[in-house]
Amino acid sequence: MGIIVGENTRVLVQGITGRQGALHTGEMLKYGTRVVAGVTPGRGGGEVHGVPVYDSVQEAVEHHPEVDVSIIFVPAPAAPDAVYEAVDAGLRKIVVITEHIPVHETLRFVLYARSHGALIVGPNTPGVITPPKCKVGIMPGEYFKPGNIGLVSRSGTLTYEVSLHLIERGLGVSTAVGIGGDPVTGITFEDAYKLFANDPATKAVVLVGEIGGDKEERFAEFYSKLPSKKPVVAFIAGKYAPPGKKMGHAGAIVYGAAGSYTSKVEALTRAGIKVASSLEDLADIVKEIL
Amino acid sequence: MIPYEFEVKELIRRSGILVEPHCVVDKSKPESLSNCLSSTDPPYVVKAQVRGWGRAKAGLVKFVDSREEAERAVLELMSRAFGGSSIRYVVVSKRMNVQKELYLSMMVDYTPPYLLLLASRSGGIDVETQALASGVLKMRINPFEGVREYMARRVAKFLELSVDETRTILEGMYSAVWEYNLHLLELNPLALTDEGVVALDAKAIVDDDALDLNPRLSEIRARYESELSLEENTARKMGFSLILLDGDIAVIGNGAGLTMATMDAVAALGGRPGVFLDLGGGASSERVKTALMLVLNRVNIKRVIVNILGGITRCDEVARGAVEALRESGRRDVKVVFRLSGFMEDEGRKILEEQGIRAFRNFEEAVREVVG
Repeated sequence: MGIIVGENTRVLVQGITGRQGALHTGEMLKYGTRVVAGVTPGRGGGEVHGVPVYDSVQEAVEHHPEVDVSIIFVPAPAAPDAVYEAVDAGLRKIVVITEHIPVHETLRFVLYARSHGALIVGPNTPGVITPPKCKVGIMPGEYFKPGNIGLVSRSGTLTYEVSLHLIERGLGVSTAVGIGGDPVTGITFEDAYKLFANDPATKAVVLVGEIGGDKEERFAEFYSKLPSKKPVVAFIAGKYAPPGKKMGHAGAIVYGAAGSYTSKVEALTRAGIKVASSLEDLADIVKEIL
Repeated sequence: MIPYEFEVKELIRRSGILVEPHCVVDKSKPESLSNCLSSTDPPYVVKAQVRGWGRAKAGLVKFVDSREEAERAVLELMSRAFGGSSIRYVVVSKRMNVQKELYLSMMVDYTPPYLLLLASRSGGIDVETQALASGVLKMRINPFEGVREYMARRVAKFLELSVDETRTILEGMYSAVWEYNLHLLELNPLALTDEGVVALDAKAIVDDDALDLNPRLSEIRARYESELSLEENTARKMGFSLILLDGDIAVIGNGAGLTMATMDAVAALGGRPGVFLDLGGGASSERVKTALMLVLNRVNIKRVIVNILGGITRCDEVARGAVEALRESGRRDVKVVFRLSGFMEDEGRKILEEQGIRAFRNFEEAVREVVG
């Protein structure tokens, strides 16, 4: 089953004729994802890997009302517009692969999407994969095997690495979600956990965080208050990284000590979440608790 | 990017916020000192311009009463450094008659995504501790709505200022945050003076991802880039995230999380990282070559680990770029360990093997090889 995407998912690719869009449409199709339409303004009428291309999202969904997820490969300057176009055309799951979108733009389109009941995954995300049925993203499919662990991560390539380590222990994932590496993202750790909590195919959740910001601390706070919970195991990257730049006094007032490796580990541990010291350790702990 | 105080002040002045009368002395233009002092009356505050916080605590702000003292203070500050960077600019401000010092900031906040407004009745050097002790007013500003009238009323009451002045400042801050893509804008101290409410100091963080898209930032960007080292500039142009450390192992990866996890694993085995370099997504052979050359040009680097999981990055491109860099650099004393996995992995492996280089498939094996 998994979350967000599955065997019934029908995908629209925005920016399908671009280098990354075309390349990864091919890869998604090879994986078995039902990519049914693409959009590139001005390129309507063409095809990419046999997928029909339309000039607008509106036209695409008129021809393919079954589309329920859009994936955006549009370069940063035009990506926000692509998100609004998808939301306004009625799409309610939007995966934004694009990186380097100014955070002010993200603030606005994430809020806009929320107010329309749409879920944004990303920006700056590798996407979502429910192996072996559907991948809506740029992750190499062979790094993910089906299983009962929900994987949610701030970091793209580290998601693949964690999944590889799970595979080495004979484990697999129900769904792997990259929330995105930017300071502001659509889906949060809390959102992903709630979806995994309601997913019967998920027995435990692996959370991959990193130093900086307070996303992990906020998740710990949220998790500690849940009346019933699925087990969560965490890994935090950046233990030996030099401390990042502080956001001035405002950062100090808002975050306090949050953001450091120690702060995250302590918050998660207090909330009853096991924090692994290495990727091998992570896979071992997950294997133990299942 | 953290701009200088005088740059931030110019931005907020354009947005309608009062700033203290001041002038800028440029180290590269000796005549700017006398021009500056002739344009502003004593007594003065003389402030080194730094890209970061903690300037006053570092002794880089001086209060002086005469023109002669100001000259001496400027020259002394010009000879100093902050966070490893030498001081290039000094601001000389007219010292104002301050009745009280306050604090106002706006920053991007994560969840739910809003701009967060922070106000404190006590401003100054130790505002974190003072603000937490005396209470902070926090308000969320919806980026579709901007500053509403009730917000101006609430902040005005909290800071004991007039609603009109407060509204002007909040709207000015909001428009500056928006126009110039600021992650953070901080007025500290914001002072009630004989001449109204004035920003005595202003600090900001500009969104690096907005620099290409926001022509209004081109001037402060150009100044910033002109001050970067060759390595920092290369990294910036190529879109790498680069941190120089004091060890002898360079850690190169694609993706911040993977590169950090690689560095953690190296450090856990007792290795000492000397460079952290995240290639980012989709690195071409040209970019990989540049990254590796950058690392190989540092004499303190004796070992390199290149850890690539190919998603949007092609392993064959990585291998091609690496082979070229190794050929061109000519360094024989460096041990370079590759880990390649994922997109176009077999092609990448073949390219390296043709040069007699083995690429690991497993994370831990590669880390053990480079440390051991």
